[in-house]
Amino acid sequence: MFVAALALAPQLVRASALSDVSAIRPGRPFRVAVDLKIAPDWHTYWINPGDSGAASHVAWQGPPGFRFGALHWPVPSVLRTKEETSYVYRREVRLVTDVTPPKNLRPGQKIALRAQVDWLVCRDSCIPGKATVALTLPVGTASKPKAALDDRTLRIPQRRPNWIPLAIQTKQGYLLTLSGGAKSLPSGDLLFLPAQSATVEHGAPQPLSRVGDSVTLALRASSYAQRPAKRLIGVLVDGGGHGWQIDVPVRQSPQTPALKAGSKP
Amino acid sequence: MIIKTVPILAILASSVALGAPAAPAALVGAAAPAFTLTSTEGKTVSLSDYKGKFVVLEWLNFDCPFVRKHYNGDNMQRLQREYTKKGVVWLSIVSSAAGQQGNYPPSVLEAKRKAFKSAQTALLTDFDGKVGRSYGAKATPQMVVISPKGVILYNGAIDDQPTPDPASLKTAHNYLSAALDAAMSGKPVAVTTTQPYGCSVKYAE
Repeated sequence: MFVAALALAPQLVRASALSDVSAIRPGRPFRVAVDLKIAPDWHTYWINPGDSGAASHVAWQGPPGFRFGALHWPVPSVLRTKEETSYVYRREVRLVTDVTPPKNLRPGQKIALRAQVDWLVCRDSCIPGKATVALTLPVGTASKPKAALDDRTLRIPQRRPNWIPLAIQTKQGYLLTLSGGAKSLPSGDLLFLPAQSATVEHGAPQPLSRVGDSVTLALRASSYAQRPAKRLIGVLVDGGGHGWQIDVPVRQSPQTPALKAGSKP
Repeated sequence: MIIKTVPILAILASSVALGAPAAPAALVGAAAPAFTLTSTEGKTVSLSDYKGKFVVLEWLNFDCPFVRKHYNGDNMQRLQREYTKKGVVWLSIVSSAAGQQGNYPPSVLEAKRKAFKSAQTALLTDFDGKVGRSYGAKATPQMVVISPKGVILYNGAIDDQPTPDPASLKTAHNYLSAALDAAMSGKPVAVTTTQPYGCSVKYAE
């Protein structure tokens, strides 16, 4: 069974490179992305894959002077089985990177950008894969917009400056509270997806309560955590799959004794 | 003040449902569940046979890329050789159900074991998954260390590199070695549990 699957491997994920500009303006940041088209029923993984799987890796290279930022990860889907919860991408995902070109580029110069990508694609079994993707862009002053690689189109989680987040350590884990002006917080169901593994239990329910202009999620600490998390970093998603960045230090409530390493939460 | 609790997204309870494996972390410090299984060489093997010795359980699926990372690079075999020489009993267990990835007739598993020049004490088949579930085996590879008194000292990932990439072996911190080296010199195990990585164990539906 595994051998048959291996023969299909090249078709399970098709990788390509995209840019949001048709020409590079010296010193002007632009975006590149690795697009992964995933075979139906298969999936790749988010930065925190969850209970199993492995995140994709993207490493860009360009001529001297080109600086590449960190990957922006779109909001993943939550995949639940009887035994596990994972954070995955199905059908297609674009992993985007900001690029800052140097100022000293000549018009007409051709710039080659290359990315090494590797992934784990799974259905019931998992197959690692990799590819090198490349694109060439001319240096020029005018640029027609190309692929839409903006945060909204790619569902990259946004910060909400008018939310005031608070995370408190509890005996079971954490309470994550968001306070915002009336109507500014999302309604309906919410879920916190941790970007770091071994912090929050991926499959545990997150009971939600709303009081006035705040919403609180009760999060269970991961049974693999060696010590309580110092920060909660991740994405808050609503029932429609919209996501918002969360990055908040964890405070000890004066009444809560600190979790001892190795103790059951 | 009225606190309104809103029902959350339909979530399957993650707590121990009937048939779902126990949580690996919860088993640390507890008595290692007893078992009797058949080895690929046709011998009956019980955990109780090895009272008084350190025992390593290695959940195995030869077709899993994460397992191959260790076997193709002789990493797992090297650990098997090193610790069995020191008197540790190393039992590899295949819990893949019939028709699932990693499941083969015992004679085929034995042939693969030999082809990889594996050095475990025995390779045991657990095709109905009972032993895997009792140890909270979630992934392959997953490692369990049992003390001579039969207490679980470690249950989790083999190292800190949750990737199938063999290059990661160069810089990996090996949790299994760390646990065994500490326990065998009478020291407490510093890291007793980590999130297992790899292919999910292919239990029967």
